[in-house]
Amino acid sequence: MSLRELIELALMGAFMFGTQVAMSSIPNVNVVSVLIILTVMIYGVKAFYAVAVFVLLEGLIYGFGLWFINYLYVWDVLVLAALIFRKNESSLIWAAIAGLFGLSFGLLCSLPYIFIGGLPMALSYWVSGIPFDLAHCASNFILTLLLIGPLRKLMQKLRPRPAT
Amino acid sequence: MNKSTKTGLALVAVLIVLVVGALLAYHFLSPGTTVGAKTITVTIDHMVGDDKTIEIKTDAEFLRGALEQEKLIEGENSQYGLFITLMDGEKADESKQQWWGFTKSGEYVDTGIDQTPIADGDSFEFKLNEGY
Repeated sequence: MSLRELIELALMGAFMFGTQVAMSSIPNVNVVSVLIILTVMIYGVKAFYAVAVFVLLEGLIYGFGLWFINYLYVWDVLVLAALIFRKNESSLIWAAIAGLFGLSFGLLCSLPYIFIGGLPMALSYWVSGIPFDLAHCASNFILTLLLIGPLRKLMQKLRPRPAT
Repeated sequence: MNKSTKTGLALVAVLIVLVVGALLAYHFLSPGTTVGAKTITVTIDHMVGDDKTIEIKTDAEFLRGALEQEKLIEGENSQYGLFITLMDGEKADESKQQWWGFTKSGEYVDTGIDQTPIADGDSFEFKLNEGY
């Protein structure tokens, strides 16, 4: 990885964090998923580095609580899903992937509770968060549908050389 | 219709099915609420000042409604509902990593105050904690 890429990926991670904080007054609406998909489209597997920066910043600012265990893997699931569809250029497919991720966010976050309080606790955690997952799903779908195409074009303009 | 449009529409169809499934799961698996008058007990463990036990008579179905009725709380809306920043006059100092948490009859509750249903005779214990 070149120094330029290292800096770009760190900035993408910081940008993910910054936008999440800036939009925190609108519950369940953020562009983190859009930016992760965009990072995968441009940088491929190296997007994991940007996500690591984002997660680390979240922990440093909000504290390393139980939720941090979720963050260690939950965003990586989106990176993996995006890597599978990396060559795709359809905004609709990306929107559906982001929507699916938003909908499954609570389910993915409930996994540690299986080990803490068993399956009933994990199920209870997931069910209580379903309204938030639905809002996350809807906002991810709409924001990705609207933003992923223009953002990709912008990134390609700013960064004409393909990642190596 | 090209291949990517077909794939996109298929994924959207899957998404819609899963959204309906999630709505059904929420409808059938979430705890039920109790309509009508009820009395609950709220204990507040302050960091500064005396602890307090309050009996609340309310028609609210969820804990937030009962606490707001008594003007006990202030907070910020978050993705998990209202995040309490002030309770019974005592503010959680974010710089000291303070936060208001609660239990129900001493047991851990995995829902926020917006989603915790209340029934007659329930008791809740609020405590100002320090450290995340």
